[in-house]
Amino acid sequence: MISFKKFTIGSILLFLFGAVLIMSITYVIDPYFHYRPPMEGIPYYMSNTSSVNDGIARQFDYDMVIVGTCMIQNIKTTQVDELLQTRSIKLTSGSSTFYENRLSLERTFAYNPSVNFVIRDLGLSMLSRESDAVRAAIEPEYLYDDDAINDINYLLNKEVMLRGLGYTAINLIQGKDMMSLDEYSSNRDQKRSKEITLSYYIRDEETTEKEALFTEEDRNIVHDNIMINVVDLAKEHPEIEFYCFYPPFSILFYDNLNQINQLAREFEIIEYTTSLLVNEKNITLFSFIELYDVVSDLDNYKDAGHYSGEINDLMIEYMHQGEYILTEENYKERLAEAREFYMNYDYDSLFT
Amino acid sequence: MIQGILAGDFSGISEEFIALSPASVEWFILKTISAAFSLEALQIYVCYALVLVADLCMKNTNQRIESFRANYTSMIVTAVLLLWSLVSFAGISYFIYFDF
Repeated sequence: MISFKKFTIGSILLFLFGAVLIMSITYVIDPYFHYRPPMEGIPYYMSNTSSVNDGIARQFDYDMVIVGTCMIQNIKTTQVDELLQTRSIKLTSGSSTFYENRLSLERTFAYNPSVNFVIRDLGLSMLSRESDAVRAAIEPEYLYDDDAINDINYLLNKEVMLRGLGYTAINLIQGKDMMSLDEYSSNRDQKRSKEITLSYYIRDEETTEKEALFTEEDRNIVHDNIMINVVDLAKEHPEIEFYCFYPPFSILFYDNLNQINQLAREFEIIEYTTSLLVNEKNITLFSFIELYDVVSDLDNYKDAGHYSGEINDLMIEYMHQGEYILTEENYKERLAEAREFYMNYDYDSLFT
Repeated sequence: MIQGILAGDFSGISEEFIALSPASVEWFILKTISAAFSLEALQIYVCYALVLVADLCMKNTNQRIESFRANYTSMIVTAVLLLWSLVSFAGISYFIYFDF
């Protein structure tokens, strides 16, 4: 039994001591690399991409950035570095919009002026989003700025304690090495199959509505999205080579558009987007929607959009070989072929 | 909005929801039912059950104050709980996959 005065003062002192201890550990170990590069001998576990990406961009040694949605998450930076002779980092941000990717790249270029190469995905479902569209998630802005005051959100944070420090501690106990950028955000170990892919797919009923049109309003939205978030950024950085690519969503993505009568409109969007990109000197556009064998084989997927790591490997290989590039001269013909393929595909055969 | 629905006025429901195809609605209902019987849901039910038991069977705050004895154990517990509350203010947000 102690007096209430002693109890109150003791509780406050213990609380303050605990808070300072947690802040010190987080600051020193710095699991999201906000203050310093990874320390030798600490097997960091990088779990939350929204939180870790900025630290990687700030602290790692690189001259190439791979940025985008989960369409890049299984890219192996070691393969990229070997084939394209780079030192790359991967900044995956699931479902991120072109606007968010631009912001991420702008921050990255400010952190590291020696970047000379970028790979970014241009997801088909993102082409016609507003130019300032963001995801329905609150980003940890306190990690993206240099305001020391709001770092309190990082230093005293339950998730950082449990996931950042906790998983790193588990790695340490298990004698593991630091997670590599190949492993970071990767889900290569997840099983892919036609059965799994179809189990996640809800097929819309065929619509009786008229074919959707690519309106003037749509055109303006696509124009602003692509110009502001892709083309202007490339123009501002003529010293940087941008490899952009249309990812190979599965045939189910096209089936959905076909069922709701929007497939022709989608190809109008793709063609218009391509016309905005192919004239840029430092943008190379890869059309992996033309990987027809890949797209049609649902064993490569785990749902309508997410392909296996082997497909990422294949795309990097094609980038290295310079295949599937759309140019001013060939894009109309190539996209017309793609449109022909997808418009005439026997979609019902997927479900028999 | 619920009052309106009960009175036969569905104008409060978003147009996006009304525009959903029957397949999407069926998918939504199935997902909702499966979520209600998931392990995560079970954890929440257990929590609610524990709270109910605590509410009905345990001493309330006033009763606890009467029998409270300030000692080193309660001092440490108080400090830890305060600390846990503090670090719980800040979290990391996760987004929900709805597009890619």
